[in-house]
Amino acid sequence: MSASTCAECGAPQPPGASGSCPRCLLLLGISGTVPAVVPVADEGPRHFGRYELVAPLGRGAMGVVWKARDPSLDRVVALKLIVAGQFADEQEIERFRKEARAAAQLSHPNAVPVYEVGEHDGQPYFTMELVEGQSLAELVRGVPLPPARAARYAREIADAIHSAHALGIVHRDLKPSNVLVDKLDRPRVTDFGLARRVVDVDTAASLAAMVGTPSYMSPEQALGQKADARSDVYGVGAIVYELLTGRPPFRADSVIDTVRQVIDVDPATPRLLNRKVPRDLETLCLKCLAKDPAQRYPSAADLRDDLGRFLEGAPIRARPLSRAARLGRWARRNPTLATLGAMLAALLALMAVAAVLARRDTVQANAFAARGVASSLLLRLGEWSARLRVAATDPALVAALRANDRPAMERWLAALRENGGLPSDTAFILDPSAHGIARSPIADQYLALDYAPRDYFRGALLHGAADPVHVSAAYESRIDGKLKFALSSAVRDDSGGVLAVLIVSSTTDATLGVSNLQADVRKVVVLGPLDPNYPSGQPRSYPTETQHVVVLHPSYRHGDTAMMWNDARLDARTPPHGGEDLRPLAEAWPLGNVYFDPLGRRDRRYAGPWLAGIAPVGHTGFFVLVQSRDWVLLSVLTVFAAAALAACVAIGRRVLRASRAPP
Amino acid sequence: MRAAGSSSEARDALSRLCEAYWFPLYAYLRRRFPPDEAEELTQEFFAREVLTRRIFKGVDPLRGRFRAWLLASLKHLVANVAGAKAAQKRGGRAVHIPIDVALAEARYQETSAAVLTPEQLYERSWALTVLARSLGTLRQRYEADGRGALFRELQGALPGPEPAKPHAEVARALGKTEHAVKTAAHRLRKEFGELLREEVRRTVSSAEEIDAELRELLAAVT
Repeated sequence: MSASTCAECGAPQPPGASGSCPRCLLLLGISGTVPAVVPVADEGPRHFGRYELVAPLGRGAMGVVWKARDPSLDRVVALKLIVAGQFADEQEIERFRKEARAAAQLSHPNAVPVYEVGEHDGQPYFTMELVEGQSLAELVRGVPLPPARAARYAREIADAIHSAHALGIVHRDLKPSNVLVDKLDRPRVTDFGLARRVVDVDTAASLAAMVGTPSYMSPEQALGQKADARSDVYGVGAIVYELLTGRPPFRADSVIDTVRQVIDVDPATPRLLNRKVPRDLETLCLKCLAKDPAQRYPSAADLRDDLGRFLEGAPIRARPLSRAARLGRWARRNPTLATLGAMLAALLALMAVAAVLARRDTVQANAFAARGVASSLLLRLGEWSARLRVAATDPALVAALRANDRPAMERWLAALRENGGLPSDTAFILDPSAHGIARSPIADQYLALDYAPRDYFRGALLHGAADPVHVSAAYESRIDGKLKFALSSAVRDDSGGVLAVLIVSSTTDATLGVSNLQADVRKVVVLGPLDPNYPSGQPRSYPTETQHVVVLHPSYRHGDTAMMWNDARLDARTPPHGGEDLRPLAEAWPLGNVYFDPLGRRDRRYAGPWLAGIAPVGHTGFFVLVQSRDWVLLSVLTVFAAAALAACVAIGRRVLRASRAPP
Repeated sequence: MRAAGSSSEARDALSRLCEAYWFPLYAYLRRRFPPDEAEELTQEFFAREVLTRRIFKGVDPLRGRFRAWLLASLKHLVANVAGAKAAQKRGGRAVHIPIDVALAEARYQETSAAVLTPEQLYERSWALTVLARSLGTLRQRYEADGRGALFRELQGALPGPEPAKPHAEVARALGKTEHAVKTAAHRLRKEFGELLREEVRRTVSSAEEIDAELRELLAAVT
């Protein structure tokens, strides 16, 4: 077209412009430039070709449907005017005509028959039987149908679709609004092969007009690929989905988002939206909606037959996707994420194995360390025993005992505590009948008490002259209430008769004066058997029961209240006690999988899980426990705790919001 | 714009409007970049700004002219991805608005005969898009109720270079009286004017601004 000028304003028109002068067109919109309306005479009943248009029935993406009367046959029909300009070219129009002729041959009780296809004044149209009734879209309106009814409709629709396919007609645009339910409650499919042939070129500016409603479109159509019979299987699936759940499989705010979902997202399972949907029907519906056409029913007949099996209560052929298959499908769609996920999972598994091995290693190392500490503690006890043995034969002590000189005994005891090289918070002497004779520091109430049940008294008497020192069980002092443990030895005369029992005792502590006992990572704890407080004079079995108490702990300050060690795992392994206390016992073992330090209850530094190994201190009944932090379990517990906390917060917020919401 | 407030419904309407006016954006970009890059940037704009609704964060599009706001948003994006090859950054299967590059290019060539700045070209394309949309709606309205033939015969009644077909001739073709055709032609012009105002109303914040916007568009095509 050559350049020309506007007939109204004389402005030059650009070549190729669509025939109107933009300037003058814009002027038509500006207020006051539009001339007043000239009244028009009533034009009477409207005609289209030989048809008399009675009333508009509805408007679709493709055109408008009229209720029209065909005077030549005196029958009322549905007349669909196809908006011109929607066909891409002459070839498209020809293809439309061909398919319409094929559709006119389709005769099926569940298909709305096409009567005539034609063109009037360049306006393509076709006529169909006028079905009085509602479309499935109007019938559902957001409320699910009973599953059996939905399945019956779907089976009849699938049957109609199958006969269409047999004639080579693909529907391409199955959706609830294209299925009418007639007075006999039969679903009737309309627009066979006539829909979706059209491409709107002129209004390419309007995306929505181009795509229509993509909620029911198959993924291959959304991707611009060719539709085939399996696209219609998808369409039936989409209809079933809406009948069962009251909503289309995909629905987003905008056309493009919906298309994106159709291509990429799996629909929410129908049972998630409506618990009443039978599992088999859900499986069947989702098989139709598979993204990959090859995963759907191969034909509408297969779908129809499976729906039939469902309605008869027979097992259906479709199988629900297993978890693994769903994961596989997801992985194919998201290869990058899936690879990352697999790598992460492998890494986590490796870390888990490494963590398990590391924990086992740590426990073994701790047991080994415990054995070492136990033997050095045993050596130290040997040294102290030797010193006590020497002290117990001191002629000065024997002389004081013979003279029954209490002040001399007290002086002697004070000197022993000062210079004896023994861990002795207290030192005291009992007579052979277990009554106190002297004590340092001096405590008068001591003299009145009977100490016969005490392990330090009875144990000392069990030892012979060759090995006189007894390592006693821990006990609670009746003088100051503190937990103590003691070394005791009988003081004998030349003939071996017992003159008295000499005892030195010490209380709870962190190191017991042993240097380098505590390391940064590994903590050493000493557990002792507990000598319970018995009412005096009451007989009891010996050796004592195996209740243990924490005697030495890095968290203790000197003289701290002792913690009980309530762990049955030690009881069975307590070596025989009484006589030959210091004979070594080269044994050590890991303390199970998890260990919680009892001191953790009062000192936060020791709370949480530890890994521990344990070794007996000869035959004394004491144990050395070496513990180090269980970082693996600690981090796992921390993560769980954080997750639990987050969940609590989230639930709390929801509850709060719910309580604030207006009724 | 008609859909007031920032409800999601209003945003949907705005998203659709953004989609409808993609061509002026393309034309603007095309003036500045080669065709493939212009297309990439248009896609980028829709994928990153419009579809994600990110475009509505911050500035309120309901204040002032939609036309100016949309261009400002686009310029903002272009400044952000300046130089960087947008296409390379966007991996995977992004959803595209179906731009027919050949069609877009044809429209671009058709629109950009004169020497215009990218902004002028944007304004001009905008005006033409407004007209095309109004005309499309008018045509659909006529065809929807079977008056398609009348519309085609009477399109000459709208101002343009083709000498309008004498009403008598149209009347003969349609089997109507000349008076009826005259009335119909008049009504066609009036309806077009109304649809045009309706279309413009969607892109301005109040009805009072329609005339001002129309005058600006008039300036853009003159």
